[in-house]
Amino acid sequence: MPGQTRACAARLLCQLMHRPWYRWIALGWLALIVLAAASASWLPLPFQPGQTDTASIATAPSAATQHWLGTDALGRDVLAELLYGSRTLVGVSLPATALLTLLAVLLGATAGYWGNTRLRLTRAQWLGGSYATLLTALYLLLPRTGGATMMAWLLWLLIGGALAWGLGRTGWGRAREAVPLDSWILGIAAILGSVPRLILLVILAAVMPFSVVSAILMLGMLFWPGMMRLVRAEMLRMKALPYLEAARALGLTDTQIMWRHAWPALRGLVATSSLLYLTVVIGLETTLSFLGIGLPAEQASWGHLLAAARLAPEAWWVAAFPGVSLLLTLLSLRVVARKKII
Amino acid sequence: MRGRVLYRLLRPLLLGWLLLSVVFLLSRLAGFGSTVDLTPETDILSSRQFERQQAQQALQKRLGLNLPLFYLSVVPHPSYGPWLLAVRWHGRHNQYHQWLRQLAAGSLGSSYRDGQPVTSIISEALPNTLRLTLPAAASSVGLTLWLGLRLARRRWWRTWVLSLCVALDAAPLFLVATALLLLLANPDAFPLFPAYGLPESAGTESLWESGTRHLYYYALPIGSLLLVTVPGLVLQLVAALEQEAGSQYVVTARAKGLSDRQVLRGHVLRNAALPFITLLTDLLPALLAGAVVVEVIFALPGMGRLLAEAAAARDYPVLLGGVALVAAARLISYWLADALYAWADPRLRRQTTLPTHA
Repeated sequence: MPGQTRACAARLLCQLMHRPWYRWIALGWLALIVLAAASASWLPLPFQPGQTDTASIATAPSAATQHWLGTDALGRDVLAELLYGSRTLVGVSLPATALLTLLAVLLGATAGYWGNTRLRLTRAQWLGGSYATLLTALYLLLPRTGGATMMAWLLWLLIGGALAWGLGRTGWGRAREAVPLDSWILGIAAILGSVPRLILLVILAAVMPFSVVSAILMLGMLFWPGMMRLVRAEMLRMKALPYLEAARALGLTDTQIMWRHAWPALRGLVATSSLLYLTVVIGLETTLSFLGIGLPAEQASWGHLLAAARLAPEAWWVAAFPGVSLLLTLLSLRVVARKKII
Repeated sequence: MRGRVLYRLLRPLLLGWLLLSVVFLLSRLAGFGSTVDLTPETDILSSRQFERQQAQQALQKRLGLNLPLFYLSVVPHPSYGPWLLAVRWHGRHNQYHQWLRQLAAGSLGSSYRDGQPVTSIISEALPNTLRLTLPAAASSVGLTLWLGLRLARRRWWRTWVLSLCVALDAAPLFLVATALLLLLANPDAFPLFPAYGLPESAGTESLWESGTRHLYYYALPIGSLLLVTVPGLVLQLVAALEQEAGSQYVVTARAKGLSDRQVLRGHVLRNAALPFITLLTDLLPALLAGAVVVEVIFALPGMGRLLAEAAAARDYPVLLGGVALVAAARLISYWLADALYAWADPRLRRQTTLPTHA
């Protein structure tokens, strides 16, 4: 029922936004952001991001001081921060969303297609798989790792693999048992969902301070459950359709069915929802930077700029430019995403 | 049936425990790494280094950090190196077990920063957050229902309000809160509300006075939470109402001669409520997460700011306490949603499988 409602809400939004010029403006704005991100270091900017101009602190936009969008309370040029911030925005949120989408599609399609009973492994594969997982976990827990540790891990893995292969030749080892993939994946999603993601991110930021790479990894690895559920539901619906049954009856392999028959039908949904998750990721990234627990402070980010706006409440330009840019970006992404639903 | 209900009641508990354990182990692992790298390097500094090391060790012992982390630990074999692993069993004498025992006894340890027990820190901060989130939750549900029901009867302002909802729904909370702060609590714009902090209680005053004073201070924080949560809920509710409005029982109800209002309130709303309840499950945790942002911006001494500050200072016991509390809020909202489902849909009271909203 929520799925139906969501589709209905989407239709409602479409009615509201079904005007072609909305879409062109949105696409133009997004192109501008990407262009700014790509060309930030080549533009002839009078000031660099993070550079404090003590002569002009919280000055209004003017051509005389060459601060075309003014400066914030620390004397940093708003224009430079904005341009380099868009680079951070694109550089963090696009890879994070790509990772999120990849995880969501892989896990969702797996959970939906194989379910709890479809994937049946032989006992030898079961034993070998659990042995490999346990071994890897143990070696990861070692306090110090080096080349010798890697070699030892590989050696034990090879020995285990050989044993499992041998076991697979026996009658007992060849018997098959089902893998409850669906329950496992939903269980992990439920654990991730038991605390709001923002709070989880705050805690993880305390355990390991974010860099650009770790922020990408964190955002990607925490936010897949929502999209995974969408993909899984779509896969479940599709699995019952005649054309997939026909494909199975023809004896196509699982890989062929997934790649040639299921994926083309999933593509539209994935494209739309990854655009929507891009807005979520952008919102989260700027929120964390705003709270001062996200990216390191010297990294230019719209969130950092908006946080600086509170230091000088009379300087409207510090809040207005990044705030409006952020809002426009999020709205444009929504407009572009909605178009694709129907 | 009873087993099923028990499972549904206990599953969130189990999930919460798992998450807490993972966060605990991660935090202790991270904390352990930062304090252990203290080896004397030069002769001149060695005595001071030694003193510092001693102090570190004493501190670790006091905080119970000198014990092994978990029941088991893995080390390279003493004589064969990493080629053979040795798994050591530590029994109950480990950090995790002690923490779990404390947790079962209702204690969350004491803060790394000032040594106060975490429970007292939290019980000081929690009322401020509840004063923020509970009114926000209640009024967002109320406002959504009111607005949704009015919008369901196509008025001329419907498109405008819905467009505004779409725009607001896109904005992240910190942006809305900052905008409100800079517009309405700014001496250079409209200084209508206080920019930060809480009222000091001015001795004896009537309930009315203290109520209005609190309202004055909480208006902007609650307002920004409302501006972020209500639009999304309204859009979903309007969509659900619209979907239900096409069904046959609506035609029947109209044919019976019921008024628009009666059809909407008595028939459509109850059917549209089911997906809406699913959304409400997420409302309380979302508001708690929102409290982090709002309390930092408006400098309210609540749970959210406590969490943000504890994260910045790496005060893990306080962080864990906060997570435990948030997980508990989630648990409560799950149970509440189950009860609401049963109220909204009588079929579910007899059915063995409840709807999944996990």
